[in-house]
Amino acid sequence: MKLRHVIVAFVALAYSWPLTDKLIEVGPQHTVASAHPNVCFHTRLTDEVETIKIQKTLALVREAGATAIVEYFPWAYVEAEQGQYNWYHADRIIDIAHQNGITVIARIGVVPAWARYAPTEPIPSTGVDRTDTYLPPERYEDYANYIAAFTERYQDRVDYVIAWNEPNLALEWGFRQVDPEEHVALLKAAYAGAKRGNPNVNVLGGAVAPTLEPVGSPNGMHDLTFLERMYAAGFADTYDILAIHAYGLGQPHAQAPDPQRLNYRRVEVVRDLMVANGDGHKQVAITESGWNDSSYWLYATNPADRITQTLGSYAYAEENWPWNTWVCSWAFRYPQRYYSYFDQYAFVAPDFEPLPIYLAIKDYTQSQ
Amino acid sequence: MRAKISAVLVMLIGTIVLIAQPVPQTDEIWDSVQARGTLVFAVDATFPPFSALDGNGNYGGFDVELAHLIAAELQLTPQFKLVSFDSLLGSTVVRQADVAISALVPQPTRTEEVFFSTPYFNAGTRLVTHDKVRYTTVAAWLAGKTLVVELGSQGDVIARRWQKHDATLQVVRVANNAEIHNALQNGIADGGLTDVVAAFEMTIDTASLHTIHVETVPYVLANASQAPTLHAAIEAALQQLEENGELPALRQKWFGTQARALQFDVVEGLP
Repeated sequence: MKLRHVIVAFVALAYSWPLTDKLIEVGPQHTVASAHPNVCFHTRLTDEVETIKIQKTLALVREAGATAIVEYFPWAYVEAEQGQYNWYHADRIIDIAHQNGITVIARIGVVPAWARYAPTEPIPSTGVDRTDTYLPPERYEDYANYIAAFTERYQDRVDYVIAWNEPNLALEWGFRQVDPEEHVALLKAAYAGAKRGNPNVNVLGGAVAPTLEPVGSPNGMHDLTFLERMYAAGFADTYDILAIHAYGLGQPHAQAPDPQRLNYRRVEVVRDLMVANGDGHKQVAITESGWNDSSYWLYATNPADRITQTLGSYAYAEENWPWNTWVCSWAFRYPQRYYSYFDQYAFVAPDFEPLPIYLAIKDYTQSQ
Repeated sequence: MRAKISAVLVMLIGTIVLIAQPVPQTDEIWDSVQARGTLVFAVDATFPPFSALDGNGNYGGFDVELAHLIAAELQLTPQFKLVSFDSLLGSTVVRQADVAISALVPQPTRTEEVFFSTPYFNAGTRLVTHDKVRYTTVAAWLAGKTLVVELGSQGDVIARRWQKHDATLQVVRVANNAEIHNALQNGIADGGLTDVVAAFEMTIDTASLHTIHVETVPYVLANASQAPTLHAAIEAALQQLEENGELPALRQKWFGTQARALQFDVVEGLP
């Protein structure tokens, strides 16, 4: 093949690419058929490039009988330059989810490089040395503005947003010492922003990571201690629905709860804390849950038990927790493999091959 | 003409690589490592046999022993910082650790923040067989064979993909790796698809079994892209350990004779 043929082929491909994308039709409106509408998945379409793969993923979610998804809408992707919004990717996900009849719970995070430094701080010339979870207080209002822009844009299609994620882990707090009072200050700004964009949107708050880390640990803080301090700092005024992460971590779904034990029914301990702080009238959504079936990760189980525990967790929540809305299982499908035990949380392989657990959930939601 | 195109491509890729690499004036991280005489490794100690804590809180595992070898090669004292898997890379970026090591695979989306080393281990799913199968002949060997896999595992995913390619392939699904081993020993299956640790264990327990990887999963170290000198030092240490036989010996110690050589051959003719 001659060089000019290569160049011509490359140019032709480059021109045809966006055209191909535009030719994909959204398709007819669907509804989700499910005997167990609390089934929900946390999808990972954040880094999915092709529209056809977003469509295929969300069609599989619908066919599994899941009525809702939690999906990530990174601030850094939409507002990479301050004040300049690019909604292309978010639009596609929300439009296709809407067409499939799936409720979107939008998780809002990932700090753009420009917002990791206060306006008075220079970005180091040798490169960014703060992670995408570092947000200085001087930038809280910028975060709130992004949420306001998001809730306003999607006010007819997105009724639920989650502000921030697992703030009691140093990883999710810019590798700083975690700070519940400071996090509530951030949530106050975020809540006001969300309502400014859409007064009817439901703001999910909390989303703390289940952990027993003692106070002072550089890695994080015990979830109950963190939540208690959040409530003392005025957390109740910053959310409408409490987001809870409830992982099985190798334990049976029905194992009794205990403040010093991490398991699925830890949800009940968190709910008690919520009620004790006068918020019992609000609902809960389990926005992350699941069992892992890695052969070597210490907190995993085997694939067959994973199926048993996952189905059991949906049924348990349905029968015992009237205050709970969804159980969102992490993570439906990754765009590519992580090549770590994270892969063993998936329900569908990157090449769209459904795993046995997906087929079991599909059977479950189609039966009474 | 083909040679000219290759030369142009090489120059083009080289230019892109040069432009893409950050070029800090100094390596403060390496200077700091030298000054204190320690090399801090971020470790997720929940993944034996690569890294774990024993009952006394001591770090152990293949990755931990490799960290000791690398530190010795650089005449430094290793220290370990316990982090979760998803904190491994970030902990180097914010300088809470110098190097991350924990069954870590290069992540294309993170190459602006961190350098990934050359691989020291291939953790891809493996085919275990009685016959000695080559990378070039796996596709032909599969015809009419029966494979045993763990239900829902990556081996199961690969077997399903292969079945679409070859309808004569039979797949038996079992509950765990022990049942794969039993099926092979009892002649119920011609081969098994399983994870790297189980595959090597089977070859240690049953010397007549052979194993080859059917996918590439390279384990690497990572350090902040602000530390190019540290990255170069780690690369040099890995190369030296490979050449002087210490790294092959470490692989053999943990995973048996068939794990001694580092291989990244690609299976031909299969999806």
